[in-house]
Amino acid sequence: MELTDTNMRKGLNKILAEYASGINNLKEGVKQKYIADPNYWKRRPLEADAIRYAAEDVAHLLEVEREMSSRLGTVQRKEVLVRSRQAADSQRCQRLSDLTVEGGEDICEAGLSFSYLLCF
Amino acid sequence: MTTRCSNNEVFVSWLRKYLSAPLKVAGVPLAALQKNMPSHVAEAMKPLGLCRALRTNSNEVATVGYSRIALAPEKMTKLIFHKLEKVAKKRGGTASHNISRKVPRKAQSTLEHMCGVELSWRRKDVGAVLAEEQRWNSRYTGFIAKRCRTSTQNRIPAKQGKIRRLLPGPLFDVEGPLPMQGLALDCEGVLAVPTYEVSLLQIASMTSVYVVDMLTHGHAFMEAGLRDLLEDNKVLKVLHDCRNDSRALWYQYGCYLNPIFDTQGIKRFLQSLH
Repeated sequence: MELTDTNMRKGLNKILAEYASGINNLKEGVKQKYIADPNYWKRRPLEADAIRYAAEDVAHLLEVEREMSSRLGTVQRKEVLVRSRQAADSQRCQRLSDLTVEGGEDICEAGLSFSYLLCF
Repeated sequence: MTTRCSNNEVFVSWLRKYLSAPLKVAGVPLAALQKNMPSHVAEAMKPLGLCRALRTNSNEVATVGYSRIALAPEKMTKLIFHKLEKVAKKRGGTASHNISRKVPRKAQSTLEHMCGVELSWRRKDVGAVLAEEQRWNSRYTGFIAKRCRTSTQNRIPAKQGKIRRLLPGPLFDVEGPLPMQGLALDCEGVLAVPTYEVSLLQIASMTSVYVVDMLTHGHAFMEAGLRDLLEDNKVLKVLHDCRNDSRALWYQYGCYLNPIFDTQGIKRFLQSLH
């Protein structure tokens, strides 16, 4: 089940490969670094690779949007916009993060992921 | 890439205003400075937006963001500070470098050493900056102040009622024309519970990508117009996995991304169709 964040984010390159003209070639290298080091993005100056990674993450997204929109009808496009809206809004629910039990945050994250998936 | 976005008025005007405006160092246009620069230094100053960093306010006090100046090559840093010194001397005053209070001590002394200038902290300005930040915090994200510290980590208490009240009214006009023009967005940083720290915000049109340093100047950019752009319901925001990004922008800046096109979710949707 693709509930965890890491699993879901893997999809970016898959989607880029399917819908756009290029993928993010730096994904693996930089990702390993910032997962290992929580302060990776706080550093200044940033590594050149980090900036390129960040830029390549968004560089082709508009092509994806264009391609996806061409496969959706007007009604469906409205529907996915509403669902995207709901998906983003579902993330504001913070009740679960009040849990002070061990692993409470994991439960919270899983709950938020689940409510996200329910929207689509 | 095509130039599809050239007719996107909102984006173009925003860029002109906040990223492409001629930058000045102590009243001197950056372009004039760059003429006297070695070509490789001038080259390095071209965007990625992170390097387009030095702005002077109306009082002609250069506000130097540490991250930005650090991203410029060392030579560039020296040049800028020498220029500042010169201009200040001409006017019969001393250069007042208003360094962001986020400059760590070590970096400050390095800068001082490099420039041969003593950089003073201007208490009054620091106070003003703090007050400004507080104003923004209380206005948009009042509940953030209520973060409580538990034995292990910061946690945000559930304030669902307050959050709901802070949400803007209509999402977008479902009956009206759909937003066609798009910007691709993504955030980097620690975007999850409990900190929500946006470090970089990347904005892409069809032609260019801008990497905006939110860690150092996030509130300033938000105030300067970034918020208007992100909340503009005529501009479609294309994100991959909107969960963390929209959440982090909301909790840190009170910025309500709208409308959203979530490629990850929509891929699921497309798969479910076939």
